[in-house]
This record gives sequence, C-alpha cells and structure tokens, in this order.
Amino acid sequence: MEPDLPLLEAYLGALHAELAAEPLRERVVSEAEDHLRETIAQRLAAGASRTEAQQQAIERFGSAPTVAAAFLRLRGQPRVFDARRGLPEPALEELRQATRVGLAIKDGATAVLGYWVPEPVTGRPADERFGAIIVRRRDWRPNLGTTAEFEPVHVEVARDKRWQRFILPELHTGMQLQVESWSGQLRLWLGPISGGLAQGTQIHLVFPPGRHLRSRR
Amino acid sequence: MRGEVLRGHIDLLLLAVIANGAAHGYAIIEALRQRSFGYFDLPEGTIYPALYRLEQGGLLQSCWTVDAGRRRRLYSLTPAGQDALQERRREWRAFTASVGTVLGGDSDGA
Repeated sequence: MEPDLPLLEAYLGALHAELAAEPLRERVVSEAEDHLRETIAQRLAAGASRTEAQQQAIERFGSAPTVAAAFLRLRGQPRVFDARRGLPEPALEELRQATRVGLAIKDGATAVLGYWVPEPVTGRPADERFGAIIVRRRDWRPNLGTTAEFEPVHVEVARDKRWQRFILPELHTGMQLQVESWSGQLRLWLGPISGGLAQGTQIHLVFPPGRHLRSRR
Repeated sequence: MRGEVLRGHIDLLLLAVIANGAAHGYAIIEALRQRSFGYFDLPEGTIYPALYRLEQGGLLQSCWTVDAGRRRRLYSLTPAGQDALQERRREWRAFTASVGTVLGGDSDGA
C-alpha cells in the first residue's frame, strides 16, 4: 500500500474489521482494493487531487459498515454491537439510517436496542435488515420485572419528527445508552444515569406497547 | 426509488452484463451504470454480495487474474448461468408486455 493513499488504507482497514464474521473476508477486501484503486485512477485522470480521488472513490463504493452489512445480510447474520461501554461509531451510523427501532429486555443487566435498516441491494424479497445494539439495563428497583413482563416493542422512526429532530442530533460516539423498565413501559435513556437521575443529556424515549414514540427532555 | 426498482432484478441485470464477456467487478458495475444511462447508480460495494450469491448459486464462476500488475477477480457465466439468463429474460419480457397491456395508451403518464 502506497503511503500516499492514506484514506484508502484507512478504509480497507475499517472494512477488514467490519467483516470479521465474513468467511471470505480476505477476498472481499482484496476485490474492494482493486475496485477502489481503479476508481481512484479514473478520478486522478479526470483531474482530481489524490485526496479528492480517494474521497470520491470511497463515497461511490459505500461506507465500510454499509458494505459489510450487505455481506452479513448475504450470510443471514444480523449486525450486533456491544454498546455497554459507549455507542460505537458504526452503530451510530446504523441508527442514522434506521426506519424502525425497538427495545427488548435481555436479562437483569442488559437490554437490546434493535433497529431495521432498508437494504439497498439484496436481490431478495425481504427489504430490510435487522441489527442489534446491546446496552445496559438500569431499573429504579434492581431486578424489577423479568423479561417475560416486558414484551419487545418497536416504533417507526423514519417519519417521527421527535426522533429526527431531537434524538438523532443528540446521539454521539461513546454515548452511554441505558434501558429502564418503569410502569409497564420501556425507556431508552441517552446519557448515563446515576442514583436515579439522568446525567448529562436529559432525554429519554418511552416505548409504550402499541403506542407511538414519545421523547422528553 | 431506484434501489427499490433494482431490488429483485439485480440478478438478471448482472447476468446480462456478464453475458457480454468475463469481467471484473469494477467493469461489471461500470457497465451496469453506463448501459442504464446512470439510472442504476448505487453504492458500488453493495453489488459485490450479489456477485458472490450468484457464484454460490452456480450461475457465475470466478478466478484470480493479474492485469497490469494488479490482482483482479474475473467473473464469467457458467452454463447454468446462461440458461438462467435466457429463462429470466423470457420472464421479464412476458411481465413487461403484460404490464404494458394493462397500462394501455397512457404512455406519456398523463
């Protein structure tokens, strides 16, 4: 790898990491490199700078998470992120594309924030793929409510103004997300919770079964 | 909308492009874009899983080649892929003819 193509090098490294579960990972990355080098050469010939050529090639190819997700979809594997120590950037990118999100209690300490993202090209009838983000569960009374007491719920967020205007802009890499079960509802808190009070961003999403998303500041 | 249109037809389109001759991924995707006059303009990396799926299904075969010092994967149709392309072309033409008949003379969309 030439040292003067740092964006390409970084992209291929990210793609390699994203494809950890892909059995043909080396082949996929090798083909991606060939494809991107071809595009970069075309852009350079058209007068773009080296940086511009790399940026344009990567933009056309698709982000590493998007490409990796297409392969995982091929294998029938959902993407799973562990966000118990903070929201990773690829998970945040997925949430930005999500049309639906949902919450489910996993056990006494963890919950799952599920999401659905439209699949651009699959060749299959199914038009969405599912991913999961593991987050911490925090309840005002420890171990209150078992998994069976809280049915998984989901909401349409693609056209939800509160999600688009107030929630997405608040999400950032490394942010702590926590789920609280309270009064028959599941709540997703953005930001850490300590001693029963939310620290930092005072937003939570309420997921009442069968009802619409609500957010509060 | 274009992604929606493409979904479900990507196999036919890729088989049709590769039927013109063995090609590597970049050339296949570029041909898809040019032959559709830019209509099918999608994240290029998301086309590769479709190529892999067609290969796993026995409709494509691929091998590594070296071109101008660059290692490339070359895709070509298998006999089963050629048969599948013919069959899907027939299905597509029958489908579009039927849709055209239903739509009738409303060709200008008015």
